[in-house]
Amino acid sequence: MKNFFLLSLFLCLCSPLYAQNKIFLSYNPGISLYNSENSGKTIGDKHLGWFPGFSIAYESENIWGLNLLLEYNWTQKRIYDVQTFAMTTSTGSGTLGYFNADLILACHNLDISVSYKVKDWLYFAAGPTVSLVDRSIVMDNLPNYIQEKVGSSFDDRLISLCLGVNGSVNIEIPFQTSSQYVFFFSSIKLRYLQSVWFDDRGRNLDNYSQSFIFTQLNIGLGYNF
Amino acid sequence: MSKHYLLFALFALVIIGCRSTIVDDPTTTINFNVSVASNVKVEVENSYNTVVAVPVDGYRSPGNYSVSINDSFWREGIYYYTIECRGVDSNYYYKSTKTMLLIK
Repeated sequence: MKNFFLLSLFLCLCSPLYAQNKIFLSYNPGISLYNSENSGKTIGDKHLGWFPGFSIAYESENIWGLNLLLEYNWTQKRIYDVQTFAMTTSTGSGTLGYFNADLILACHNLDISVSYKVKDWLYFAAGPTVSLVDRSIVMDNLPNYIQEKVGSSFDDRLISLCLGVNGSVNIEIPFQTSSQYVFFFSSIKLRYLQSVWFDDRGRNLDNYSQSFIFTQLNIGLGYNF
Repeated sequence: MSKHYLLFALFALVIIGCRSTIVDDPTTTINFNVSVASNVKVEVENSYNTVVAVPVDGYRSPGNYSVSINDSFWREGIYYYTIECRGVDSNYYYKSTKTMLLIK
């Protein structure tokens, strides 16, 4: 995978010498179709709902007859109040205060896709995805008693590396016809991710794995040069 | 080792059959009450679906019990403990899961 990534990067960097190129900037509202966190006790069956995201992408045309699309995509979602805690006395007879825990799921996705031109304005793209996923359980409304011990907030954070695949249908509508032009860009993307490595930091993760299926609507602008 | 502070989420303190109590103590202790002779199992699970301790697993006659858990190798974070009771001489069954937070 590392070699493939380096080769892809090399080809993209070299391609301006002999190929047309495009860059894209887009906003990507998305929803989760499947989230493995729902099989755990932390958030139960709560849905991630929709989440915002942003992308920057680069496409180089006609590398060995293929259009290679390299896209970095960032998404983040916070689910509020997945757990409610009560700080109690040692006997359990009284409650000293309540506080909530939120779950934050942030994904840094790198999609490496080969795109296929169906029509001048319509493309299909598919390929592998490498993703860094940051899953944090955050408590930032702690009672004073606990703040004295741990500070103003506490988080249980897990970083993971995920591999997966992505596929998209892309539409490009140029604003003018020339060799260099700006175009409207939109796509629907499906992305599947599966964890392959965790930064466990001493935690027992024997029975834990992450998998996600996200779909995103990309809306943005591109520039062909 | 620095102090441990356990905060147990409260769903209900008084539960028919078994009653769990809340501790704020340097050691991780779970107190529970068995009202019917039962096979009792107490499991502690981390927030990553892995059971990290089974401090109680066997017959318990009616009475109050206290179990201490060695958490010196546990990381800070959210844990879940489940108490399950199966009546020996009856069809009694009880199961409850509660959340706790370990801060070192």
